[in-house]
Amino acid sequence: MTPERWQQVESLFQSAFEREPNQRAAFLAAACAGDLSLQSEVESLLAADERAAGVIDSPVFRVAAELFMDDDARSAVGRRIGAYRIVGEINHGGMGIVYLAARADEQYEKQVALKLIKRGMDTDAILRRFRHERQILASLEHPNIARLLDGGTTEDSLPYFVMEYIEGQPIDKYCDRHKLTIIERLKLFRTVCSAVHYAHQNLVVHRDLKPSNILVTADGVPKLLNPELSAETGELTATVLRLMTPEYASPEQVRGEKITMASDIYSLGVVLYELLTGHRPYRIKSRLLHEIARVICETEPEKPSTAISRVEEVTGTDGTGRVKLTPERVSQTREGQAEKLRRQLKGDLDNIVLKALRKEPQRRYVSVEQFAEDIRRHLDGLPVIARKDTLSYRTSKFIQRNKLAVTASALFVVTGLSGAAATSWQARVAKIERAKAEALAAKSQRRFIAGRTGDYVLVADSSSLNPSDAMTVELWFTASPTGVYQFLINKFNSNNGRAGFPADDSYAVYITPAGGLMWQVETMAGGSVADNVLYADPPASILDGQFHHLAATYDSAAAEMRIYLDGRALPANLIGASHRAAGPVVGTSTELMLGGGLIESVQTYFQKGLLDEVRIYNRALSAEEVRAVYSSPASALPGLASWWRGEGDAKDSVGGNHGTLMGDATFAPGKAGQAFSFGVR
Amino acid sequence: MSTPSSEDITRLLQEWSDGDQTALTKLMPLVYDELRRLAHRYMAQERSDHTLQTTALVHEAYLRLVGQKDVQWQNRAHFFAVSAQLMRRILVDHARTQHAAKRGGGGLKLSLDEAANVPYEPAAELIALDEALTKLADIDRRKSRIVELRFFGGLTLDEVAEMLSVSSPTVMRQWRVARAWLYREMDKEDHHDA
Repeated sequence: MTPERWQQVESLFQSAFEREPNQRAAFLAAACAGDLSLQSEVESLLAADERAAGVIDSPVFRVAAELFMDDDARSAVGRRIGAYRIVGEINHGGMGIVYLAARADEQYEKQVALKLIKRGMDTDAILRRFRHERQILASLEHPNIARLLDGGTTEDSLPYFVMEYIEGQPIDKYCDRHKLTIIERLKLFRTVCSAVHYAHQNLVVHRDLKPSNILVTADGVPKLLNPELSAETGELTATVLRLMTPEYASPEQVRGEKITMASDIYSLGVVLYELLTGHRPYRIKSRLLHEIARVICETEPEKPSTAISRVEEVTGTDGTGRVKLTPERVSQTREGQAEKLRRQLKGDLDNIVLKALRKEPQRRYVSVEQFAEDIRRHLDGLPVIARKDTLSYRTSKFIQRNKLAVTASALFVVTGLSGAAATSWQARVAKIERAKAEALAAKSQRRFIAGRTGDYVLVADSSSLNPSDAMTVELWFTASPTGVYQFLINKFNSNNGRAGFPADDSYAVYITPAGGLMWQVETMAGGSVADNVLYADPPASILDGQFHHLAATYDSAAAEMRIYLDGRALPANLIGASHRAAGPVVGTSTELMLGGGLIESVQTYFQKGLLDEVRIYNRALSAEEVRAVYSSPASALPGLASWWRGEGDAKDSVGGNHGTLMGDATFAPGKAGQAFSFGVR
Repeated sequence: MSTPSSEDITRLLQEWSDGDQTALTKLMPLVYDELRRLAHRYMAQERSDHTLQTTALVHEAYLRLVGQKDVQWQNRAHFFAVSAQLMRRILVDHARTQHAAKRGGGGLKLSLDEAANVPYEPAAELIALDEALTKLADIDRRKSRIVELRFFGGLTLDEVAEMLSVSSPTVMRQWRVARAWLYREMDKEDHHDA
């Protein structure tokens, strides 16, 4: 480009930039007067501008600092640490570097892996955590996790620890070299899961699961390397990310958010994807952090069964040449024929892998154990938990996409989901999406509580009481005095037990005013599987903006509920014939209580917050009894409801400091719906 | 190596800015060591109290090396312009060396084969930026200077404006288009690369 041309481009860029975004295209078209290359030049710059925000805005210092950190890794080789001599570098972890080392006194021939905290990272806080990590690792004893052998402090008081050095191949290479079939790969992967699950039970989150951290020994035993600690990742996240391989990082990891066990599940999903298909779920070509984050957070991975048809060039595993991945090539090391491989992956395995790879942590498997169990079910020919994307998910997406329209019209969509219960979820979603706001009117009057208090409206309810209906969908919103909306979507199907929809299938999706998914409840068939997830993403503001990353899992088969607050596990709570109150939540002053009857009846739990507020996070239903107590803090926040329901009919109870009953719904046997609003009159 | 005196460094900087390239080769190791030390401190501080240093690393490095009172430059602007340029040279050269060592294996990586992965590399990003910036200089020298001053020199946009004797909004606008241009250029390279 000539400087003159550039001047022209720049001046148009500046003029366009001063205009409203929606007027830029028209402005440019007019200004360029048919000079299409000029126009596209300016347009591409405008597009780049949107994505470039923040890219080089902070000075080079961080980059500089990281460059120097890398140097340090090299300078340690040859050094003696404790009884060990550093022989070489193995790899980088989040805050330490792993070296290959040998006993300096040559007492043993054996080589070990020595992990040393990086210089420059030796602040008090990090040192504390490093020691903590050492302690945790010492407690991990599992045949598939590299053992901790020793630990100490260097002369300049940096802590280090010494681990079993595993001689083996990265799991992906191992599988290819031995031409393991899909079934053999799945079995091997399940062993890896058992190690990760064991670590999770000990509150250790690995955070950097990738093939090169999962070595398989010559005897075919997988060994997990470099688990890191579970405690808050906080300020280190950016560095951790920078040092890890972006392809295996979960969306929350690349966004610098809290890393939890769900992040490991995601990374395991990437590993499995790769083991099954030979491809990675995302093709990340850019080195720009922003681009990497965009791809991981915004694009949907291809199904494994179709990914194998992809033809792409990747860097060979020996790091030298380029390797062209073709369907023939990936099936050659797996099932022989591409078509056979495709058939094997299609369906269950597609669903299993994609469930682990979901963007939202709460929509992945609730535990690695569940992930592994689903693979086992697949291997045994049993139905698996993983399903295609569900209605609740799609609906929440729909709401996010249509938030503006919804707010503007203060109307919502009517859906009619009666009858054809056997049609797919997707079909239903399509139906929902087709329905536009203006279609609302008449139907919404059928069962509604509109205007009851002026701030709570059941906008649409397509349910009919016809017992042949498979389900009902109710969409609600409340409008707060500040004009924001909370959406509550409740769907409960009736007990017709129709094929395809388990009798107890139910959904509740709570959408935050910001359009984020606050809370989603999914339960499935006859108590066999339940997946009850409570999560805030993005951190939702319900009462006071203090609602952060709360996650619960509920396993009705085990009659057990686990609540995670800020990613930490709580003591499990048993819900049986008797009610039990849980102890204080780990690490916070939160108190959690559970009340309820039988497994499938009621779970009502509420939380006592830091400011002595009682917040409500759950609601429940049952065919026999519904009981949900929504209690507000004694002081400032009125407006929560208390509900009691006996068999077949609804009644409400308002009293004490429970606040005001906000609304009621007509309950039919087997159906229940309730809603509440927070912080409004 | 004995600690270089501020006079030495000032003199070398002056010589380099006068066009003597050998001055640069003498200057670089001196500055490099100082930078490295400061970089560690910078990392440590950022990690512990989570505040970004407002005193930019570059300023600090040069001021410490040269000694504020000893700066013999005609004006501050010239000093910072040279500093930013020097910083760019040092860091990019360093990034290239490191990047090449990684690519070439260098014998440090052991049996765990990381080569198949393309992790985020500050070195690679820095090299790409440097190349894009050179291209930008061909069509718009002034904007490449703004980026150099801000990104490598650690100056704020207001400081850059003052230095170039233009208004802050003007610099802001120019910065913005330069940034978009560079981003696009770097992105382009990545795709070619892949």
